[in-house]
Amino acid sequence: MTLKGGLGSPLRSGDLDGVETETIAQIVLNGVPGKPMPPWRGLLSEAEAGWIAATLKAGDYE
Amino acid sequence: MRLLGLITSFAVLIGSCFAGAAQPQMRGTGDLGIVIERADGSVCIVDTSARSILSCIEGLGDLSHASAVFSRDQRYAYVFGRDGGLTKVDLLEQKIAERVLQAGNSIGGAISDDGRLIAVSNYEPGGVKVFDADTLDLVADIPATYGSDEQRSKTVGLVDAPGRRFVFTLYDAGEIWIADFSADGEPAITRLHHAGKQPYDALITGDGRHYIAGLFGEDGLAHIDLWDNPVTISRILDGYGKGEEKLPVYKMPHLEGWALAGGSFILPAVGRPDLLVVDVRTFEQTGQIEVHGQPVFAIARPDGRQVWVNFAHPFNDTVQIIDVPSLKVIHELKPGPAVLHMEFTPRGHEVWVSVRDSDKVEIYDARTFEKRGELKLRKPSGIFFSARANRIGL
Repeated sequence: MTLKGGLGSPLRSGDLDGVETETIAQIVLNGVPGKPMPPWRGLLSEAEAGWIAATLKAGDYE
Repeated sequence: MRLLGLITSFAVLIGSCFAGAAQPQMRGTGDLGIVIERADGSVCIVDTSARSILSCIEGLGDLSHASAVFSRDQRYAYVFGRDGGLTKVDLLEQKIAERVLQAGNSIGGAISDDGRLIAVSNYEPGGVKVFDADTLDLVADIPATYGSDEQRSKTVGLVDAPGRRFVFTLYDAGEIWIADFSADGEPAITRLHHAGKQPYDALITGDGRHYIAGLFGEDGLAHIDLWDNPVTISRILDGYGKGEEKLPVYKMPHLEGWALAGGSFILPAVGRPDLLVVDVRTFEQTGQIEVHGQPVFAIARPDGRQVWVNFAHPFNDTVQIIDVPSLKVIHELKPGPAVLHMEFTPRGHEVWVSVRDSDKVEIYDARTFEKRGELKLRKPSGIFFSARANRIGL
């Protein structure tokens, strides 16, 4: 994964400056209405979404 | 005669000693193919007769969501990487013949009907670039500009069409463009407006006549009939999409997987565990088939008697087989987590299934469903056999 985005937005830590970790976690859980990002609530827990958000912010997967 | 046989087998023995060193062998490539190892930037050349891996080639960059087309002589595979890499792989010599990094962020490509042009669909910078199939030199650059301030749109759903044409769709602009290379020099571009909101993928039917784009932003599909003059966009299958319930869609289905079988298209519904049955002439829905999960690919066995289906997370460990005359699920396989792709041998006696999380490709008899073989590959995704060279839109 390059996290550079495709139809959706890039998700490297530099791209997420100014976005709170909690906001990212909420996007993972609730999706983005009108965009291809689906809500993952039901498949992911709050804790799992929080881990994904923190990992993206930290750039641990780049 | 016996002496001749002895010499021949000796020659074969010598020949096989060199096989490991990837010396070009005297052989055809019609039963070869490639499998993408998405995590390693590698493609493996496979022999579908021997059910074996001939060689894996590294250095192709980011191959997540990679796809490939083949030269007319079936010797070369053109691999489209996610990072803008376009790589020409020599199946005979088992090496990279040419490679260019042609954009920053790409999604798929196509080869012209005469085999001379390779087109690549780019997200960034948005547009289509066209290359000489021999040298990979740039032939044409088609920026997907739209609006008064000349913004550039991401392009999706790029296919070849008869008459040295390419057809593609502008995700941000909601337009379908036809680039006609039949005359020398610059291509003639036809822009069709008002395709709909957020077209995300498209397909062309196997006869090269109907181009159909899926819309993320609304229900229904945009359709053009390339036999029309002038070509115009119409809307088909008004109910196709998420519908009123707006269920979450974890993986948009691939439109390439519109299976043509028994007078109908059998295609994945969006966000629902169903396949839709659609009349090939009227494009009206005539039925639906409930399946195990949200379908990703619905692929017809080449004779059209069966359709094989895989699914989105969390049901992606399963493959179901539909019997076309009865429109019923007649068999289910559990190859394991993350079944990403399926490819039939050209006349459909076997099917190869990539199982990413088990690091293997499984090979099934497409009639008895017995497993015929298994190959160890690292995180396999797309499987592309060289017989695609002879099919429009693949």
